[in-house]
Amino acid sequence: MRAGKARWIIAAAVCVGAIVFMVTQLGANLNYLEPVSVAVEQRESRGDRQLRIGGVVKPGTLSERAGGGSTFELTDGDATIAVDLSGAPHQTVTDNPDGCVPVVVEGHWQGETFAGDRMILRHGAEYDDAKHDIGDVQDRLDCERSVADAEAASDLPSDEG
Amino acid sequence: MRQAIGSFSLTLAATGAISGAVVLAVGAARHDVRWMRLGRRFVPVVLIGAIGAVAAMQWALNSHDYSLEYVYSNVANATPRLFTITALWGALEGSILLWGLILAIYIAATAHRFRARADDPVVAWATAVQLFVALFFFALMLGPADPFTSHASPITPFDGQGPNALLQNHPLMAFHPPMLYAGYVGFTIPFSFAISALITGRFGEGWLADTRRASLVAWGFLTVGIVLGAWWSYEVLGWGGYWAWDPVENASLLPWLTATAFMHSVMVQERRGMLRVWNLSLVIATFALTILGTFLTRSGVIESVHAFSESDIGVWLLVFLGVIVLGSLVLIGLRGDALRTPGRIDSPLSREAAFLANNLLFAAFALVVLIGTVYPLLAEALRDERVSIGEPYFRAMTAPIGIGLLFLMAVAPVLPWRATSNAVLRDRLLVPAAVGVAVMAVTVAFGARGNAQVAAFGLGAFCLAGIGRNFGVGVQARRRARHEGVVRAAGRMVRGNPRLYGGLVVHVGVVLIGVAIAASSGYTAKREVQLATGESVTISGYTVSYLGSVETVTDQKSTVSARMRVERGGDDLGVYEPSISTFPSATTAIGTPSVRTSWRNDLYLSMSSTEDADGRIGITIAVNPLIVWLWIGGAVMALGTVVCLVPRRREPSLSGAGAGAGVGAVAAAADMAGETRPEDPTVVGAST
Repeated sequence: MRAGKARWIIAAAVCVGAIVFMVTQLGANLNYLEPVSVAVEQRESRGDRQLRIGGVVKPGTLSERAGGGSTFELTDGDATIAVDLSGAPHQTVTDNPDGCVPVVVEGHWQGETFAGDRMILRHGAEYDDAKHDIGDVQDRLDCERSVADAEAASDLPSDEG
Repeated sequence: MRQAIGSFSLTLAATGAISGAVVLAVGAARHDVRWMRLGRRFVPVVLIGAIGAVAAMQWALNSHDYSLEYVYSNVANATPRLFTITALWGALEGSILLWGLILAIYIAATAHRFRARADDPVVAWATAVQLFVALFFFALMLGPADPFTSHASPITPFDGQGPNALLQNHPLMAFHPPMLYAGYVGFTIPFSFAISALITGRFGEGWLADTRRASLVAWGFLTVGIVLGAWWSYEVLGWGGYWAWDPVENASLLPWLTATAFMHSVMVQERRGMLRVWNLSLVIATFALTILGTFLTRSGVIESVHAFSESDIGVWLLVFLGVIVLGSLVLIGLRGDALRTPGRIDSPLSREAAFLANNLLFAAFALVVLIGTVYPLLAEALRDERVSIGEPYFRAMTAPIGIGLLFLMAVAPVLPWRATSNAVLRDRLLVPAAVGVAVMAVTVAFGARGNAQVAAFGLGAFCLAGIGRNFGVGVQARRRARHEGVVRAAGRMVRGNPRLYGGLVVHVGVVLIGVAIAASSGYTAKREVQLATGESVTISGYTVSYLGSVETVTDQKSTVSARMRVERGGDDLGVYEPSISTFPSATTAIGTPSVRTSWRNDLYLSMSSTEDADGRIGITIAVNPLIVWLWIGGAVMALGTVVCLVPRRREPSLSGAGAGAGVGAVAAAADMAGETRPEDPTVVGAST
């Protein structure tokens, strides 16, 4: 009887320990995915934890370092941040330096700069990307609008001009 | 024409499914033999309908019938023939169509197998449940997932959009999804018999024997499908890995975990009559998880909880999932007391105790993966926060469980049922354990680091040594008893108990995969570099030189390949060509890695950018140890599954003077090997 009770206590302790370990791991590995403007608002509260920021690469801001890595600006139309990416930017971004390419950058804040570890292109990873494209198109339109607004405000000539 | 044939075929299949299901259910409920026999006749109708629909779709795809929206969206004039055929499962509606065909084949095969028991209510209810499931999928195709919808424009387009670029970049696309679906769909059969057992109250060991082969076949297909998916990810996606704990990957792993637990716990019920509710629950959970996986991957819910409401099919899948789970729980609840079994585990050092521990670990594994997969959905639904769970969570949680499973895999097969003694344990485990410890010491001496890695190597060796000992003892005993040669003795031993030895072969495959995962997750060397023509970089002994780029243009795609010379220790290992392709219909470029495979490691070259203004390409170079053993392990697991399916061969018992000692030797060897005795009734059941 005593042995049986002891077994139940040990089993319960193991279960509780496993649950605590899981909850701890879950909390520590939670990556927030936020658009640029929300990420800027939440910058203080996020500290240096890992997160993903979605937006589009602002045209003409991409600069690659010879030793690897790159810098660019990421925007969602409402806010813009500076990104220092340690890995290689996606080919689609390097091929379209003047396009508004939607991406997700994973990394953490270092002051006001976002230190990116990797860049993910925003498209459906599986078989059907039609729905996800809705968001991408919206971001791209926002980006193109913000670029046009910026050009108009600074009175810069546009490509067509 | 094709549209008419396709829609008629789907209607035929759905009508056959509902008619058969209702007639069978009424017949089984009334114990009316005529109705039960009549109901079975609808099974071929469903099969003919499914074949007709798939044939109509293949005809439409291959003749570029762009009047159909599905064909327009998934095929183009320039799409190669292979990917035109595989476009059937390249998008939602077509993949549901494939699902329907595979299900119809399984139902027909099951009805054929049980043709002699057409009057048995267990078989009738099981067939009725299978047809109800088929009805759901054919109803989806007649409603929200209609593959034969006309193109929106009244003018038929001259060309289509083509398949998703990722789905027309590697021949594995022809094998990975069908294998996965054959696994997913196959679990309908054990599920239907479990429900039938609950309805009829005949939940003894009969339904387990009835579904053993179907469970094994489904499990084998799912195993191969998952391994092929990892291989496809490795060979196509170009990120250098094979498993990213992506929700889509997890969706296939979840039912595999519960099904694998069932493969082990079923033996406890057969042998000791225990774990009835657990086994029923595992089978139901496995089927429910296949539907959950389909919901996750097909409803758009992974991209965003809010995208779920945009999907027509998501709501239906969720309702179906709810019906399965709630219906099963109600049935189990109604049978409550009758499901209880009097048996109990006599000793923690017994086969059944080891299987129970194995099942708890598999269940924990599934729970960890399930929580990590659905947590982001719940966070978004409840708190409107977009989050993802990082890979470190999955690694930290699953590594200790994986180590525990490897340990049990080494120990459980040699433990006797009910109880054991220290002497038996010492006799069976000492040498394999010593081999495991020696391997750990050697790997550490050769520089292996990381507790999980070293433990995996040691336990893998422990397990392999135990399996080797099992085979060795069995063969030796047969040779003594029957004076056979080694090869003949080994062959006949396996034929005498294919389930046991096939299972051990599967374990060998699991060990190979476990060791490959441990090595590749711990000791990969990776660099991202930019190289101009003539420049080289050295990594882990490989020298990789950039020779220049080549551009090729076809109707299907434009490809830029980087020519990379690979040398090692002064030996020229050849020129490898990682590439980047752009497809006319796609907005993004698709990289295709080039891999040099050897027994020790893979050199993995992936192009990240084509030549810039300074003539430098971006290239990622990785040296991944022991990766090839992952694919070999998958093949070994498939081989073991096939061995398990081989019918058992009964041999005449030895007779005459002096034979007694031989029989005793074989029986003793079988018991030492942890094998069930030939006279055991469960062994007779194992061959059916």
